[in-house]
Amino acid sequence: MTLPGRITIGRVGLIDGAGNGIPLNVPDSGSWRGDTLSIGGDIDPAAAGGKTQALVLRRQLQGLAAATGEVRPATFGDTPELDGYYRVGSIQITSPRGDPGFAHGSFGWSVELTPVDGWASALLQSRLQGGLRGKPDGTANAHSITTAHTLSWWSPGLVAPATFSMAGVSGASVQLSRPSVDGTVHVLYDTAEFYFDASPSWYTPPGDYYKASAGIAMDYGTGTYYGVVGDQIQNRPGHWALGNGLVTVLGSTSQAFAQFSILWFGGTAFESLKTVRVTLDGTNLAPWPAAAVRILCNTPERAAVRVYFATTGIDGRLTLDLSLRRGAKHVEGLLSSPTGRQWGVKLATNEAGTNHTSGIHASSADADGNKYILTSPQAVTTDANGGIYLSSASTRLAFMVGAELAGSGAGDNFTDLVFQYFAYQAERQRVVVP
Amino acid sequence: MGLGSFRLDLSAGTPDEVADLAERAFARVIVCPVRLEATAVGFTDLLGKAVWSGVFDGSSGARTRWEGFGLAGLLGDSDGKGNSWGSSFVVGARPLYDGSNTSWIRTNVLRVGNGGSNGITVGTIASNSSPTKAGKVKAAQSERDVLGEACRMFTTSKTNPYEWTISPGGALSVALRNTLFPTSTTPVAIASKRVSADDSSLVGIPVTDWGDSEDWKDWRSTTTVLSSDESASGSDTISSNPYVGIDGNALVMRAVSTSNSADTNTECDNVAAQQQGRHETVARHLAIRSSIADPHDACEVGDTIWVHDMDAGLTGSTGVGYGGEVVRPLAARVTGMTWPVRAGMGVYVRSWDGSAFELTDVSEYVVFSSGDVRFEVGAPRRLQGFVRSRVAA
Repeated sequence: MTLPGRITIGRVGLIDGAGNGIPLNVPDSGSWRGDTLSIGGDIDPAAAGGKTQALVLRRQLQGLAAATGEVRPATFGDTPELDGYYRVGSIQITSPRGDPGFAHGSFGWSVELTPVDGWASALLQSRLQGGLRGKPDGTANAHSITTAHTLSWWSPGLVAPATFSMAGVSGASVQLSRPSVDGTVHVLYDTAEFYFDASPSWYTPPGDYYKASAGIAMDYGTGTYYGVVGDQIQNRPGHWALGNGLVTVLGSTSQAFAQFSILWFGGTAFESLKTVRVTLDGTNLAPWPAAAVRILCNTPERAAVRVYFATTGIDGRLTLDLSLRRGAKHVEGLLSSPTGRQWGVKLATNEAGTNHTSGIHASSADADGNKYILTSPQAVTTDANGGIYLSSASTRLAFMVGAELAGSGAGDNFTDLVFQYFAYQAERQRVVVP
Repeated sequence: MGLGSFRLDLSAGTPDEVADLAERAFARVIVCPVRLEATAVGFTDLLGKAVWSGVFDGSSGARTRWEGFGLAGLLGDSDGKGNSWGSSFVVGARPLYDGSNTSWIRTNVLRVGNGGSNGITVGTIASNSSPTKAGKVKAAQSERDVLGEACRMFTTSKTNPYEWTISPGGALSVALRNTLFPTSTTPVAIASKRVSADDSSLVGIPVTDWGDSEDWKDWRSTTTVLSSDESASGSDTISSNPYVGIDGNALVMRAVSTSNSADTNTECDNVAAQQQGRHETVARHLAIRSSIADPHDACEVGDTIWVHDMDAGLTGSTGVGYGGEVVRPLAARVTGMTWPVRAGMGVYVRSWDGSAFELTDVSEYVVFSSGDVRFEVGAPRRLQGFVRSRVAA
């Protein structure tokens, strides 16, 4: 529930389950013309919590401006009867001439919102298309894993009893509940490839739309990660985060290694921080720091970034795509370079592992009771200390990093997580406007 | 392959020496992606770097607007004029192409030793002495018509027919589609509204508008082909007909046409099978508007590309990695491209001054255009080279 005195428009003003976020205060002015609500207000650093925070809020509003014409949920702390799904109209952000506000974080904003038909109870629908994951070159995976092995899966996000109301899902699906920082996440998986071609629809109240959804955040120098709205991100290649409430992936500022970190939500907090490094051949680590980052996708159903590493000499640009789906306990990665090598990924801190077809997983649980999983659709050689690398040189490495958490049953154990990874899925979610 | 056309605008301040070139009809216009020094680069090398070449055949606006057709028109323009035949005759059995002996392409298309083909030369065509086929050439058919018929006669697979292209250098290449266009089996470009310009695996074509339409106007359940004197006939029927009439029984849509070259029942069957194969599924047509800077980076006409848009139903069954995820796009063929000549490109005119060729770099006088590239993607609607006969009411 949005607190009194505050509103949210899309992700602007959203406070996440961990309490992070910059509130957007109730606007100073508002009016309706026909159905369209126009609201506006002023932001100042004092109210936002600091100059950095005010500038972040401005950046979020700019990201929302790029979504003009699209539908977003809006909630109103003082007047919750207005909560619903609105089409975003024109957005303006202003700093009057002479006012140092442009650089110092004080500015005026105004937004136009038009409620869509059935705005208070709009249906959401996802179009899903998937299949058996193959190697990056399009050929079949190297482990004889077939379609029949895969567990096609999908998550509508948070489960909210009595308001969920799904349709278009398979009655034969297995339902999983995965605890996340925002509450319990609903995941459905199917052994008959149902979600490879499906269009499920469901209802989520606007206040829950972003809970346990995929998203991107950035640390602007204060040590706190703030949500990124839209597809533009500042170039802070060591300070980005991908998260879905179950898994958080963090960029690294390391100047010595090409690496990223990953944590899992264990029920009360994020734990089992593992740093994953890129290797050139299974042993030698890629010594290149991250140089740039950009967003590939920033939607509630999937968040993905592309990180570029500062490769030296004529080595050719190394890029790392990391993609996180709503409801997933694993992050999907793709390393790409024009240079053919036996590219690999390995844990920075050794942890003994046991091989499985397609990769390696922890032999025993770590201090938090969790076991890492590293898997690839390509032929890979394993490093018993927790790594995989291509058995023969190639220009790309597809991989997944996941974890079997303490107390995991069917659907959450490493075998099932691997088969969920081998079910690739493309999803496009929208608000159904009659 | 269609004719192609071009329109070039020259500025009003173009000097007379250049504007006068408009009097040299059938001069060759060459477009390169960057402006090369015509005097430094030899003409052969210039042609090697060209993305397009055409033939000038008309001007307007005080000779500032030039128009013309693509090189394929030298084998027969839009009216069929070229080194065409004035009378019909029977053609004895001969292979598709034999580099030194009588063969369809050497003798009846390129007409080597018999007037030639206005300068079109042999590109990459496999030279074989067999199989051989006999046929007919009718009066008024052009070399381009005969080329089309020869490709159809020698095609044995509905899905991998013989096709032809002419390079900007004027070389004719004939081969099976999958050989002529390797992208038929492995597309290297993807058109989508979400594009990653720097994806290592595929070239992205950013789509502004799909311009999509789909119809079954040319769909048929059976194709029947008759020889021109109706003495022979052949047909081909769809193997599994999913559509029904309003009574629930299989829909019968028979298309009947005449072939100028097929003489026997077997040949008629062959031609019918090819036509049937082209019209057995929905004809989906896209007129994509794209802001891509140079379309030739992505594809050429005849190439197959991926198109992907879940909302527009442009999806298929093969998983393809792009933009950090795996999507299921649809493979579709680029059947036409209209692209602006942008600032920075090189435009050259090679004209005959009466006794020799003269190459003129006209790039600095061209009024360059900006704007979207238009890709025509999907089944072309019109059949070329066949006379349609109407079923008598």
